[in-house]
Amino acid sequence: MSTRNQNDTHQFGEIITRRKFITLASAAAAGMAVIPLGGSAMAAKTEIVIGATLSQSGRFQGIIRPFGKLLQVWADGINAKGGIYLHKINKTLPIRLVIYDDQSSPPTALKFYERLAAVDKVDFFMGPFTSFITNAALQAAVKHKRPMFMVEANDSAMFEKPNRWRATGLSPAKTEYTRVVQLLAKKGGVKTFALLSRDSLHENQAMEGFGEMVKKAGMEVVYQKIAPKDTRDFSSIILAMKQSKPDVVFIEWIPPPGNIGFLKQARGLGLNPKDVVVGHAPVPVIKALGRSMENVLSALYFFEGDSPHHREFFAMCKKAGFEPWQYSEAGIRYVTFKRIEEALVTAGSLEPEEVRRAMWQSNFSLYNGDIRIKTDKKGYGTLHPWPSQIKNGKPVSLWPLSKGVEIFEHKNGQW
Amino acid sequence: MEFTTLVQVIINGVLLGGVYALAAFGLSLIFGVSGVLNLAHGEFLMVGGMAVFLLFDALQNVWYVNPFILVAVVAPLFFLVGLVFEKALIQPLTQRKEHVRLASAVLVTLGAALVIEDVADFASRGSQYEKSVDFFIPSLVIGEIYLETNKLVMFGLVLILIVALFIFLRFTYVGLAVQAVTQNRRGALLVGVNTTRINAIAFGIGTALAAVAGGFEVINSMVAPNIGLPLTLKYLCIVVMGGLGSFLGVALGGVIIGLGESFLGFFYPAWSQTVAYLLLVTVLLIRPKGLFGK
Amino acid sequence: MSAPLMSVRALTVNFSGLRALDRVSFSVNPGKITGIIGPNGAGKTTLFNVIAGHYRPSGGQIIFGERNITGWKSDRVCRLGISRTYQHVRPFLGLSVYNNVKVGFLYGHQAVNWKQKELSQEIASMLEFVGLEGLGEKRAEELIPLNRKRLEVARALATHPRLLLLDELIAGLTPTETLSMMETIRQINAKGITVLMIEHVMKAVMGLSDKVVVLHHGEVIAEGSPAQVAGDQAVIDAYLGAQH
Repeated sequence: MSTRNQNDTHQFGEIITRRKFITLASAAAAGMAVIPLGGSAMAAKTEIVIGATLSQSGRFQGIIRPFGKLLQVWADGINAKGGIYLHKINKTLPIRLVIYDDQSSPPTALKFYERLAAVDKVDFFMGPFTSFITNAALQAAVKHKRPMFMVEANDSAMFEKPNRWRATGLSPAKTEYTRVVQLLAKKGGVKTFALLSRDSLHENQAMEGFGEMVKKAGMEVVYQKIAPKDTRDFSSIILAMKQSKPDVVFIEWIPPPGNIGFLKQARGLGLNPKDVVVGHAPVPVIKALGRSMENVLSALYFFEGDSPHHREFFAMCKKAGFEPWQYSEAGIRYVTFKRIEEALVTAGSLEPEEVRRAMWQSNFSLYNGDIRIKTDKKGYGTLHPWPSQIKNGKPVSLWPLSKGVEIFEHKNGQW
Repeated sequence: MEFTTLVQVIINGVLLGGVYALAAFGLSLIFGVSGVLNLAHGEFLMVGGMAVFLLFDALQNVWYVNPFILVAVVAPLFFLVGLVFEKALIQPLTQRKEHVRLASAVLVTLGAALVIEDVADFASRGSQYEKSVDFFIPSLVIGEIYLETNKLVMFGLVLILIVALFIFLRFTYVGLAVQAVTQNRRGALLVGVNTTRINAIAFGIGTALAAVAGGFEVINSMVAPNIGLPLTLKYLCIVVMGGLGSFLGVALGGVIIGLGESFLGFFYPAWSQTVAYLLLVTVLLIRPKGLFGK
Repeated sequence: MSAPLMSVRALTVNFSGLRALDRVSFSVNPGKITGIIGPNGAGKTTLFNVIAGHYRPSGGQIIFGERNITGWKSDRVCRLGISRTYQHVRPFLGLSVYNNVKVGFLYGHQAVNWKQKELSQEIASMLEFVGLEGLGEKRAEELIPLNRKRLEVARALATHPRLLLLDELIAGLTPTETLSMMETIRQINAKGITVLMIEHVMKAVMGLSDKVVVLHHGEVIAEGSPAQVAGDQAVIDAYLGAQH
């Protein structure tokens, strides 16, 4: 009896203590479930920091020139409305951009992405221009576990190995010219194609894809070659193309320089196909060829229209000081902005893992439903350009397809 | 290959080779006279092309000038540029011993090349990276053969310049001194030839020729800050293949490489840019001093 | 005794630690032939190289006429009136014999504005003087060694030197050729050109020179008439020693 009494007291004490402990522990657990781990760090966040590099010098500077401003216009637009609301931390935070010049060089880009992560402590990245520079920059994303919204990057080298930290808005390089081939097939009157690309992974894949789509549409590829990146004289290539008697000549070459030499020499050597498709025809190319560019086909990363997204995009470009056709890759940038906005709203916080997951779940439509931006299992997106044709020194959209086919005029060898 | 196509490929190759030879001459002259391998040669070509473009672009709205005329205006300016470059960067090198001189020259001119490229890159911000003039005269068509007028004019100018150079070397006193310095620098010094002045003249002429070649590029294709070094490499190939110090060798080397690129471009374009080096190795295996080397 | 045409004072040349010339001093009298002899490695060619301006001496002076020409470059030295031939001749191989000599006339000590006809005549008589008449159109690289030496002399003479440095002109010639060359040298001197010659062929040096300077290990060990120098013990020792 007495022992039981003593034990009772002990047990009672223990029970009380244990109970207290359990209660306290439960309360703590419940509390932790409500407040996320590191809650105090998140609570201290005052802005969304996004890091990126742009090719402000080096050989891509002509393509990227106004994009620093464009990015800022986008961020300012968001911040004018107070910022983006992150529901998990119940805060609306403005965007701050940190941008460096990657000098069109992969090692420089990597260096700066490392710095963006380690020193500037960005929340996530926007990728650099072009596939091979992005390929280098990705190492920083993986190492520092920060998601990278790839921008102008889509060649297969980056997608062979799975990598959770990156996704692009673009569809695979091979599908780049889907709509251009569609247009040509629908217009009809052309059967044979001569294709040339610069010897670089992106260009090669875009050309391969073009050729495959041409064949699938029941047409024929009569010439398909790759030329080294330093090629300045295309005379022999042009002669070989002439020999194969193509209805359509297609050249895929970034940056444009190769295009200028090729077009001038094609003109001079009497290569007069029904149509000429120049994958990239920015201002320097149009200026250098003058009237000869009339009715040359190309592709733009947007098309003319009046939807709210169109208006927003055109307004952004105007504020950044350019017309969209002059720097058509702005269209890719716009899609990237939308992807980021959507991902942040979905994630509701700046936790890298949350943002990363949201990046992979992108699913929204643009331009009155003309295109749906989604991310597939490998990390590819769904954006590829819309066909355009140069008229009076400016590209004109050939979209929607029915309208495009009507506006489209064959070049018919007129230089 | 059809016959007319074959003829066309050959013509293209010769025309191409002629323009290659022009810039290579400049490099060969500089090397033959001063013993300096000027790795900044391609940069002068690029800057010369840029100068022609800037003039053309600036005058375009006021007065449409034939870019070939602008080339004739720019070339003498670049003679001066060559003189200044030589005085500023190369003369200090000639004080050094011969075996050190070549290595120093390579390093100094390479450094200069990189700096010039950087400056051109920087200067391109705010405008376009690649520069090309919109100038086209319809081709001369003979049957099925198209002769690009631009290239014909260029080839003609190249011939004129080569003849002018020949006359200069053979029939003027300064030309004789240039030949003497090329063949025996010590010997020339001993008989009182001011080799410093002759070096400067060689640099001036060489640079002017490079600028002319640059003007051709901007008409026929385009120039951009990054084209300099790959071109220098190709011209070096031609100079070494032709035999150091031989102008006939350079002319022949240029045409051989032009033809090589032309034929390979027709069948295997992926190899067209390496053909220069392949031919170089082949020639050197047969004749180690180059085609007409001494 | 008139003032010397050229004097060398305490001339020193160091090549990274090796002393090639050690305070060499001597003078050359105008209108005379001075010979320089010494065993191999004595520094004779180095001496010529420094006088002719290939490199600067580490110390000392070279006075020519009234001018201190220490450190002057070769072309400047030539334009002042000193010319030199090389032991291993340095013609302009790709140029004709005629043009080789022409360069000398155009750029040398008395480079004047030549009239085409005058120049041709001068070149023709120069070629005749050295024994190359009729070979004007041949390229220098086609000449036999003896004629290359003659060309070397012709070109140097074309610059109208006051002082001519001859570097082993006679070495390697047959006895007949030697006599012929010695005669040429006398004739050059007879024109009033002062000659300073390096020579190994004793018969030639002793036969031609008014004065002989002997170098050994970069130092002057004797200076005087051929007879004096021949009997000098130090000179004999130097040559005997060198024969080991």
